[in-house]
Amino acid sequence: MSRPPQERRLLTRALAVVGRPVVTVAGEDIAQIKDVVFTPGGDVEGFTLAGRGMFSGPLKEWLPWSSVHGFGPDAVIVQGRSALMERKGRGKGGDVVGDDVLTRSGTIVGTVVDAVLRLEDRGLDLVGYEVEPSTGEGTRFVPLPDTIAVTEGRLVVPDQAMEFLANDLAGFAAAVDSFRSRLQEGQS
Amino acid sequence: MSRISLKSLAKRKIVDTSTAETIGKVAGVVIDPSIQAVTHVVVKGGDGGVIPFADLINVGPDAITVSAASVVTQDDPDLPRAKDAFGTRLLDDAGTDLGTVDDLYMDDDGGIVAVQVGGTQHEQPLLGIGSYAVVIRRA
Repeated sequence: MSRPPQERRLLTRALAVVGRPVVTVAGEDIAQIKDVVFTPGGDVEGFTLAGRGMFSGPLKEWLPWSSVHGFGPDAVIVQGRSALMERKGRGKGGDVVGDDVLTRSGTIVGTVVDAVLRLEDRGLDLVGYEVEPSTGEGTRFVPLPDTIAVTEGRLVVPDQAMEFLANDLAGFAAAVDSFRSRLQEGQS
Repeated sequence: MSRISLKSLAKRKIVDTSTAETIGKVAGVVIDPSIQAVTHVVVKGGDGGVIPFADLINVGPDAITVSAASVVTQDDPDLPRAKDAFGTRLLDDAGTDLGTVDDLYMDDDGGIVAVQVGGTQHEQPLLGIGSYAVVIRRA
């Protein structure tokens, strides 16, 4: 998928994706997003689905990211029903809400309330977490490295992440980029 | 090339030029999104039915003209209609809602050239007309 740059940089909260309709290019809504499934490396692998309408429950099929034609603020576009695949033993996939984020040197940044995704050329990337500090202040956005182990329980981020905390999504895109280039400098 | 509003076609007379008789009025048009074109005009009056676009002499401002009443063929109600598009949300294939469809426009050959939402005419190719949305390619 190729997109204009301004669209590509849009950040989305994972919870905001939940309930978004899955629409075919023929204009039929065939499902809605139930949950986001992550790869162990922190990319979006796809979505679990629910039926459309008030009383419909979860679907057996899921939507792999490779079958997504367009991912926008108002709908997820697919070519057709064949985009929905049989779900073979896939779990819920890295639900980190409620987990603590800890720096490598042992400071708790806060508790995860949401994940932040960014549309890139190569896919939908997990770029950070929205966390609630234990001090009870407003939520903060913590940037993540390019690849991260998404595991249950406790999440560890590099200490440098503390220098790039953002108070709102608007400032967070730049914070992610600065943080990631800082990490790359550190490696070279 | 003139742009014809599909909404404006509603109730336009269909006249057989061989007899000068009105054989019916336009009830709507059938669109094939795979070729982004109007394929049939739906007839109201008489026994109903549809006229293949290729059998029209002209889509005039006051009447659509045909050479014989025999060009009317049987309708297939499952084919997508322009009127189903009116009032439906318009999505681009990047997943952005562009508003509610007010009208569609075709050229003289029946090709869909624009989808109108409010004061804006979107000229990207039409991809589908469904029960949930009209879908066009993103700009």
